[in-house]
Amino acid sequence: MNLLKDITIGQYVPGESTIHRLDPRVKIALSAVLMVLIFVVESYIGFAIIFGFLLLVTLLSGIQFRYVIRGLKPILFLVLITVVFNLFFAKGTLVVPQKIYGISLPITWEGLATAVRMAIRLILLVFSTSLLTLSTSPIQLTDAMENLLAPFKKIGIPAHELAMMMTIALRFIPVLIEETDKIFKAQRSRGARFGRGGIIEKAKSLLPILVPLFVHAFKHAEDLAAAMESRCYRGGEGRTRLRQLKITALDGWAFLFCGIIFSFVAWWNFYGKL
Amino acid sequence: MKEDNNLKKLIQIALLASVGAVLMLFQLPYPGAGWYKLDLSDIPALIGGCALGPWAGLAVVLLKNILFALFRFSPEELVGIPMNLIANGIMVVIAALIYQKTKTRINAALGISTGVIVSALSMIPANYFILPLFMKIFMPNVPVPGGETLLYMILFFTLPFNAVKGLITGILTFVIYKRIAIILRAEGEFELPAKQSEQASKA
Repeated sequence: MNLLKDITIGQYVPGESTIHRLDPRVKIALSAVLMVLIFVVESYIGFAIIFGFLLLVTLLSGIQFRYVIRGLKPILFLVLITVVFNLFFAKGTLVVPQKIYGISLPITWEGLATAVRMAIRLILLVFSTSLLTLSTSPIQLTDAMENLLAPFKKIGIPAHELAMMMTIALRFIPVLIEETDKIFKAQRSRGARFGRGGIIEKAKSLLPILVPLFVHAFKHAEDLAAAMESRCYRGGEGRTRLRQLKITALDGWAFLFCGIIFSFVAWWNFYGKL
Repeated sequence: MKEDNNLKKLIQIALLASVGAVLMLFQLPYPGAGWYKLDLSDIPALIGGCALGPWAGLAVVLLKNILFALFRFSPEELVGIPMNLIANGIMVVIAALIYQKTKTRINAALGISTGVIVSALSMIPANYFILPLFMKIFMPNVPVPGGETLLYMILFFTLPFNAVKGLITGILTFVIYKRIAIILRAEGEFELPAKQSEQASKA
């Protein structure tokens, strides 16, 4: 068993497309609006427009569809549960009014409609969020987070420190996964057994992995602190950046384009009854 | 978070959050109810709380959840993540506050167990309010179970789950903390608590 194979970390697909070049702050803001919109929209026309929009964005970003579909896999179970529950618990007119062998199927048209709508909603939700993480690197997202949080420094939110910790944590996740894998193999070669017995047994068998993992983590922290201190790191005050976030004309167009589409969907949902 | 300005502490928090995110990736569905996920990711936060103080512990909880959301977002996490913030946050703060007073082994056990118990109990009201909200959003057709039924559901499903998870987390944290404290102390990583350093200097 190879731990590294089973775990895909981060979904970012590097690229140079229009979508990749958008400012991460703009992408986050637009995604947030879109998520709210997906929850608000009731009409199928609205869903169709949003779906078309997301397809267009996917095409523009040059990201292969299999990545998007892979992102949908983990929610299949949730979609299934919501569909089943919505299907069987609605009141209204029955789809099959006749009784078959004396049992009537408790599925109503109303239930069917909600179930379909919910499934679409969940899929669109994950589609839109995975597009964001597929086309924006975690580091860009962190930079954007620092930038967006900066105004809240006055009320005591340490934006720079949080972003710095995020960046460090992101940097060390692959390292720690690799080390976990190594520790796992090392302990197995010494005869350790994992994943047997009850929950408590299983948890106990993880101790020989967890202890070295934490020791490693603290060692990395020690080394990194020494490295940063020796390079005179002294917090966010007056710090310059290699990559600066800049709003370009492209971002303006994206805002305009999404603004038109989103407001049309919202308008259609509330006024344009179909 | 004013007292966290020291660089090493920030980095330790980041690394612990990183360990937490890694552990969150190895989650197991809880037998019986698939959407409850058993994982060990509360351990780094609890260790962070004990070693570095309640604010640091809370920072680990927050960062770990953001990291996880970046990597594995699914709509059920709209509930899962706030729940973990509350549960793990309460656990960490209580354990840290008790343990920070006097750093003895008994106090560690006391702090961790109080934290685990209060956190499991706090999940009863949290679920009572958030579960109906979740159902209204995702399952608008299903009648939201009334007060008493909902309470029974929580008492028979959610409470045992949180108790099991808390128990595993608590025990493992206690054992791990003791071991890594010994190792890190030997390398001058942690300051010895007053009593023990006296004993150490006598010996």
